[in-house]
Amino acid sequence: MIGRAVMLATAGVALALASADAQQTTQGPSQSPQPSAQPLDFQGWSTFNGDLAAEKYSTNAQITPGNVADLKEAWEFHTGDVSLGGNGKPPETYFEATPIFANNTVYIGTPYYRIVALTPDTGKVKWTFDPHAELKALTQPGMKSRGVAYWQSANPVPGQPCQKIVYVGTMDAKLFAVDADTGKRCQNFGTNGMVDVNQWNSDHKFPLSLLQPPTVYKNMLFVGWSGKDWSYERAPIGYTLALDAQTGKLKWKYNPFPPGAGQESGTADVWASMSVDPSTNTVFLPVSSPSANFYGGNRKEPLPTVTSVTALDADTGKLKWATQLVHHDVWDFDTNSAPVLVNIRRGGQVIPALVQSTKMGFLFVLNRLTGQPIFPVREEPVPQTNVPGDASSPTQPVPVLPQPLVAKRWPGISTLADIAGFGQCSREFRKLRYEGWFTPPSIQGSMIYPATPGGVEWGGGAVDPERGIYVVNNSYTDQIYKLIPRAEYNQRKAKGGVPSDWFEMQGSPYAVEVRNFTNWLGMPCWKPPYGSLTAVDLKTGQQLWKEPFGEVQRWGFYMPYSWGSITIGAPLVTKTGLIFIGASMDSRARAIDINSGKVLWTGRLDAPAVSLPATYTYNNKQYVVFTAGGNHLLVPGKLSDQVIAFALPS
Amino acid sequence: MRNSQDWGGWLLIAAAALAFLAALYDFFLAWGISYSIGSGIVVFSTAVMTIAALVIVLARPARWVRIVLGIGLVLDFLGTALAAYFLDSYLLTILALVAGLGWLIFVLSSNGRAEQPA
Repeated sequence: MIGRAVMLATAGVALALASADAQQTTQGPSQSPQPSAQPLDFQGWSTFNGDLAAEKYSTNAQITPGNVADLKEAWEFHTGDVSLGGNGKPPETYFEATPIFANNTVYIGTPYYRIVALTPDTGKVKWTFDPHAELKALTQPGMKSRGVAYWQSANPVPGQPCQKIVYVGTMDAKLFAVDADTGKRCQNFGTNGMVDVNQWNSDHKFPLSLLQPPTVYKNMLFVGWSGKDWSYERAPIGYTLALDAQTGKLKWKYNPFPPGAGQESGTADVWASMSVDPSTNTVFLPVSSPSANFYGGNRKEPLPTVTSVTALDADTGKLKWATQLVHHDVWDFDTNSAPVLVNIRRGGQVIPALVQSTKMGFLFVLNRLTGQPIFPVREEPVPQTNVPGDASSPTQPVPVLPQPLVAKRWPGISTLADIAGFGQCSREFRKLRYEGWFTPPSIQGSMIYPATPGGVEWGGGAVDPERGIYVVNNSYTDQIYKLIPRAEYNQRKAKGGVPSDWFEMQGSPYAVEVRNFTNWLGMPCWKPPYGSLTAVDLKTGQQLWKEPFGEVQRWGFYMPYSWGSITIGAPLVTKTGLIFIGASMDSRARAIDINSGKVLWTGRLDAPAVSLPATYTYNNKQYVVFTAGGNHLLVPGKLSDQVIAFALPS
Repeated sequence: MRNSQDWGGWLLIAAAALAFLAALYDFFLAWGISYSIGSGIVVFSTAVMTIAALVIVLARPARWVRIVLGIGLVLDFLGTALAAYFLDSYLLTILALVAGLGWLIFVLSSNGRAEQPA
């Protein structure tokens, strides 16, 4: 039976929760994991998530709830690497980079895979590096980059180059290393400063991309990759690699599948960022779903380590534990962000925990030493597939606390959209299969809520470790998944008429149609809100507040604030109790009071900030920097190359 | 200023013309809404509003034309104000409403004067 062993194991874990907590706690004050080799400055922002714990937390305290309303633009920079596609231009660009502040420099990675080094107080260019990457959208709808990574030697050799290195990956899976002071290639890294990750690709039919910068720890780079989802039934094994930071040589690679499994499916790659606990020398991986994404007939054996959060020994890549978050995933519910590591104080004890957000809008709070839940997780019976050849897991893990961000049932049909569509939404809904969350894809067509865009997207949440508050933005998305029998797909393909929302899943008995549940005007058929921001007390698991977040903008018109906005991107939090976040459709940056959820400041951006902001202090001034690149999923055609820093007036 | 009808007429024309300029600014320069369909719609609606205001106030057309233009203007004021509100263009919202106020004064004054003995 699919997932039975996993189900029983997880149920046992839930029952053993209280004793597990007691056994796996440590005494002492709350402290976040600190890298041991090169201590990071919490006044800076030297990794994708701010620090290795993925807290997205800063001790910078110049900007406070009392003065944030005075925040003004300090500088602005345009990379020039932006394209709307068409007319012989490069494909559309998705500029999703976190600005990195290290070495008294702001480093930006662009969608053309260039690195730009900027002065932190003026945004003036120090140097640029251009790998002359191939500008083809091999695995994505457009050119996408989430920026760069930074490493520095714990024992720098004076006069030698590349004692501090900046890394950027490319759409065709090449990883470049350049000197952080000069932008020149590090000759000792791979061949002429480049490592081709395709050498670990077991099936070159399936292209790989390095869109997410590596996670840097000690003298290692942890590298995951993105593949071409939805296109093939069988794909390469989603190895995670550990490379030497100076030479690029392989130290270990981790296979996310159990021994002997995964040969008929593949992927379960780690395409999002990772987190590291130096105190236990553990790297945590958000492992994505196996292939094919919407049909599991080729992988009916138990695969308890995929669609999981997985802990590995950082030096060897040996599996410590893996907790599966979706059994037999047929929704493309990849684990999609670095787990946030935090120590939870409870009753005089300090519990080493992690918070893993998911596309379903769940927050799993696990003991990071064991992977066991800290708050109860129940195995809930779920609707079963009626697709010939596939078999569902009878249950799925659902956290009792923190309360799921997205409700079990969809909110119902939007009256406005139904009227504007002359009843189209109602008519279509009546034809669809829908039985609450985890309704499986079907040949008749299923409504999926929340769908693969989330829930929570790849930015994940942020935590204030002092207050014990976790903050996360989420969307409420609704899509239709319809499996297309292969013969029907081939017939349409032969006529040259495959719709753009049909995806081949080549090799599988079915192709799949994936589309948003909207009327002919593009209006969502489901009721608002479409996005929220939530704060959770990690001591109790209870929500402190939940507010609609952002504004939907369509044809220039802003919808009511109570509707919220679909969001992609993530917040950061500061010691002073501020949340900074872009992420919404309305191209605004916001500062929000962590205690109340009230918006205290808004800043104007050229496009939605589909990214994580960064904050740092330089020359006694605190800056908050956003990259505003836009994304076709949020506002089609509204793309930018803007990097903008805000600060208090002098 | 000769009477309240003229005053209302000129207020209508001035507010409509300013609304048109504000809509042009929004379309070409305003943050967040420039070159959007919504800002294009209000450029069109305020242009129509200005032309209709000039015709109805200065040209003194036939009664049926005044009635058609009057009804059209009411829809234009309300539609433009509503669209501008959802564009977060509050200046344009106010100008559309002021134009509506001018039109109201113009119409009421006109009706009152028509009832006066020759």
